[in-house]
Amino acid sequence: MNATNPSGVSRRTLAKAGIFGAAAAPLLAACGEDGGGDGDGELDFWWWGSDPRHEYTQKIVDAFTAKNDGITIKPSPNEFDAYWDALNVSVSGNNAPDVLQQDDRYLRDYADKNALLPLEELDIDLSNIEENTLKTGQFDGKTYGIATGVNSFALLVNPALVEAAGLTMPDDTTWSWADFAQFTTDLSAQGDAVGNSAISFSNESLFNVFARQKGESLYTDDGQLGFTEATMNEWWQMVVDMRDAGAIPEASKIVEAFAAGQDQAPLATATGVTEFYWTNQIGAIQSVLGSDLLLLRVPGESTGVQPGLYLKSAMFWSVSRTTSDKAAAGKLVDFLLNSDESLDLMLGDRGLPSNTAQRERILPSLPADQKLGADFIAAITPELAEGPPVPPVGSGVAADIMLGVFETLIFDDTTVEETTAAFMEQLSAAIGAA
Amino acid sequence: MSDNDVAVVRSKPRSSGAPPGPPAGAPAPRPERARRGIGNTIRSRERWAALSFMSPWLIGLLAITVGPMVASFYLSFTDYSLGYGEWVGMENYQRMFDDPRLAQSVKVTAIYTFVSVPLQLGAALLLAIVLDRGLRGMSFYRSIFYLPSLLGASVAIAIMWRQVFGTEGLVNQLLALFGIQGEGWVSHPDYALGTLILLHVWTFGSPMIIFLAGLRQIPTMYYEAAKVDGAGVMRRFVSVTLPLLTPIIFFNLVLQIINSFQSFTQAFIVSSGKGGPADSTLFLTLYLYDQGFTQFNMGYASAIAWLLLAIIAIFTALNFLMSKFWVFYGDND
Repeated sequence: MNATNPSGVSRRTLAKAGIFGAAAAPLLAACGEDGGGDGDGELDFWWWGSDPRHEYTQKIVDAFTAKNDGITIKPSPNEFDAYWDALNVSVSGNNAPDVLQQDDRYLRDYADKNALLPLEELDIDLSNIEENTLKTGQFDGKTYGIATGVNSFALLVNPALVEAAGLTMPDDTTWSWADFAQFTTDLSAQGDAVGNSAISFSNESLFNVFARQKGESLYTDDGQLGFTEATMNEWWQMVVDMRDAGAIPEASKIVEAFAAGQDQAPLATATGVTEFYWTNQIGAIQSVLGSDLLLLRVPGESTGVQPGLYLKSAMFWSVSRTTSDKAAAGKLVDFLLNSDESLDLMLGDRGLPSNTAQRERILPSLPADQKLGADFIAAITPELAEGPPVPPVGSGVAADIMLGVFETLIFDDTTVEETTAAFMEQLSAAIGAA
Repeated sequence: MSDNDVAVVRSKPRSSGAPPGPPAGAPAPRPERARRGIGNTIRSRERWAALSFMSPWLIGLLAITVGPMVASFYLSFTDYSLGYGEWVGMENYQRMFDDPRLAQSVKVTAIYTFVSVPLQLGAALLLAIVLDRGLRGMSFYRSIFYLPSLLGASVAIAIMWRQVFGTEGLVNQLLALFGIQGEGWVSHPDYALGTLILLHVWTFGSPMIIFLAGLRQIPTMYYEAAKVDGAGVMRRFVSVTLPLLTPIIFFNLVLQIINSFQSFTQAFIVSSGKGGPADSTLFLTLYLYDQGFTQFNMGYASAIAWLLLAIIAIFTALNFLMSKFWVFYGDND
């Protein structure tokens, strides 16, 4: 491998240099400048997303390489599920991409398996990123991912269908989960579309919001389960009650709606009035639906112990430990996070930018759908409690476990209590909790 | 590389076997060696020719099948995950006994195999007999019936089935014409596996073609003789067709059982890769995939792969053992 390294500087030497951290980083960056440096100047760059994202990200890559002679980038866009299969295989096979998009479900798994580089070793300007945002990508005192941007859960509502059902918009600053159940029941009863499509009751992040409103959380700081059986029983009981009241579809249809994907989901096809989504998904859904949506706070924000909503890091930029060119990788991440060229194209697609200076700058130029999300986040930010801890190793499977037990519940194969027990048992095993 | 290995392996028994060998036998090897020397040059030339002709297959076998198999066998004794793994001995295999989802996946796979294979072979045989009558435009029908075999395992067909058997799909619209309220055939845990079995039965084309070939080989004189003796249609089928077809049935049975155990695509697409609803279509292969690629437990996934291999090996061995009692080869009387 050293044979392909034209500079003659060994990797080990550089690794040592890396220990000097910030002090050595500019030096490495300088090495990168003359086309050789510590690495080969070739970066594999992976991300997941939809076609529009692939197109503008390619433009960002072009802008980056135009500015940085001697660095070539091999981009690999992918669709979310396929992305994780491919990443797992490439990391296992020791040819991980140099720079990659990460998600908080998996960030810790990869960091724990030594696949990611602590980003302190690179020269990345973090001066415009808030401490709270940075924390979401840190554990054991090191940064393994830098948030691209933030987003929040919101209840997306189709106002035309609410009106068609002869109902008025609820006041989301005061409403409880009971109000929500009543609202969706009325929507189903008085309109043609179903009140809520129930895709999100199996989403562990939404349950986390519910638990946080009760002063609990999905996970604790030390990687254990942080909620009580009573809380989760209440959650499942609400699902059963809503199903029996007709607020959500019959079980088979929920399964189908889930399998159909975001573009064919009831909210997007106007066969459902409300659904919970992340704020950066609004645009995609509105464009399929062809009309505007309204954003409401998740119910129970003001009726619990504390608000449960939190700003989630939409995704992270990470660098592989095995990168062939640390300096170039650092430059690319810095460019993605901080440059005008990058943010002018990215706007709010990877969450409302984590770089607050850039966030201010692009706010006026956001398209209407991203503006909705940005305004929503701006409105709720003052109310928010401290964010949840980084999910523990093994938590990536929580979504699948929750979907599995949710399905047994809605088909009446298990009771509320059995569903809770199954979820807690399986998730404990997955995260190695006591 | 592989040549060296062979040489090493060979030289071992020779060197260890030589010392205890009786000295009296010493003169004997000489002429033998000389003979072998001549034979060797010819044989080795032929061997090289054979090897070079085989190489496209051989390289593929070593690189794509044997290599990964050896690797996965090793990995099944480690906790390999994302490029790192340590030896854990039998832990992965012990874990199998205490894994309810694995038990569920074995159950699902077994039901799928033992229901769909007999149905599929039955349908294939029936169709083969009908087509064997020499209908007009038979090659057309044969192609039509073979079509599902080509398409059945494809992603597009699985997606289509998800639509056709959906709550508002074609099947339920048809049922509604008769006033029947249909279910979500792929989204309800009680019916999802049944729908997948149906999809598998539908791909009866390839066993059907093999049955057809088998039927063609049965000499017509047997039927004529049976007719003369007054045997009816059923009698001729039971006493002539079936016994003479048993080798073909056996062949199809072995192949289809192996295929069914390895089924993956349909369940993966229909359940979005999760074996749902409520694990009702969690095939062993799907669970293996889930463990390896979703939960990062490559070591455990490798162990599951070897479990699958063991199950298939056992059933294939059983098949061969039992074949003595029912398979009739015309030449063994």
